[in-house]
Amino acid sequence: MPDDELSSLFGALADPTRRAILARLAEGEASVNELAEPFAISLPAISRHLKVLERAGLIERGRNAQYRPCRIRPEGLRVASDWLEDYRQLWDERFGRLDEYLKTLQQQQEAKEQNDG
Amino acid sequence: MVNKMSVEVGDKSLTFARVFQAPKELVFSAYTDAEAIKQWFGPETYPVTFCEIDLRPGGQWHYCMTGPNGEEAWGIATYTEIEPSTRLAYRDAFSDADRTVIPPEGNVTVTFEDREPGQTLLTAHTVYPSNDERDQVVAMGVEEGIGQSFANLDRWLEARR
Repeated sequence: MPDDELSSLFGALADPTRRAILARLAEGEASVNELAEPFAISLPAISRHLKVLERAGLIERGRNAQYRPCRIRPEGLRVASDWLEDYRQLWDERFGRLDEYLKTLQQQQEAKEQNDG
Repeated sequence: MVNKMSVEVGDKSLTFARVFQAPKELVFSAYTDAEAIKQWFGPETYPVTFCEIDLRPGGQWHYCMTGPNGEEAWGIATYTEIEPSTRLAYRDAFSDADRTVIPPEGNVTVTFEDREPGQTLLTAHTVYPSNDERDQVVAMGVEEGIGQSFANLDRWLEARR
């Protein structure tokens, strides 16, 4: 499993500014200037955020050198939206194992009581 | 009847709940005994391989889950409240082997409630310092090796090449 790519996806989404950028892009493509508008941070800072998002596969940039509109990559976001689903599954499986373990304990207890009786 | 887990996403919080076919004393002990924790807490691919529990307020539950290639994921919880068979509260976080807490820390409350005779409703409610920190824990939890999500992610990464 390429851990660096995993971390880049999670890292990209862990930042509130980058999530706000994604939310803006969900409404449609936008230029760097347009994306920078609502934030009190510099254009270079926005560009750095965009690079992180691009590396994580969450957005793509147009080819036009003058105006490189940013777009969301739905495939990348789908992985992101699976987030809680995966964590939910971790707990669901964990509780499933606890259930099995409790059953085993009770069976052992019953068997012991029968033997003792 | 199949017992299903319920999930509730709240502001800065996550709650998982499920009914178990066992008396609450037994469920509580499965949640607070080091040998029991090894049997169920870690994913199959990341079982708990080390677990120490000092069950008293201020005491700690320190554990390690080990992945298929020997990767170690340490966790630590510091108990703040213990009401035997009824309620547990602890601060929960990732850590290292030396018990150094790796933020963020969540405040977990686990309650054990009687349902039908011999049934227990277990509720694990975690409050994080912020929604961002909650989401970060969700993301880190996923990294702990659930086969399903890795397979999905592998496919997704494969498609990008």
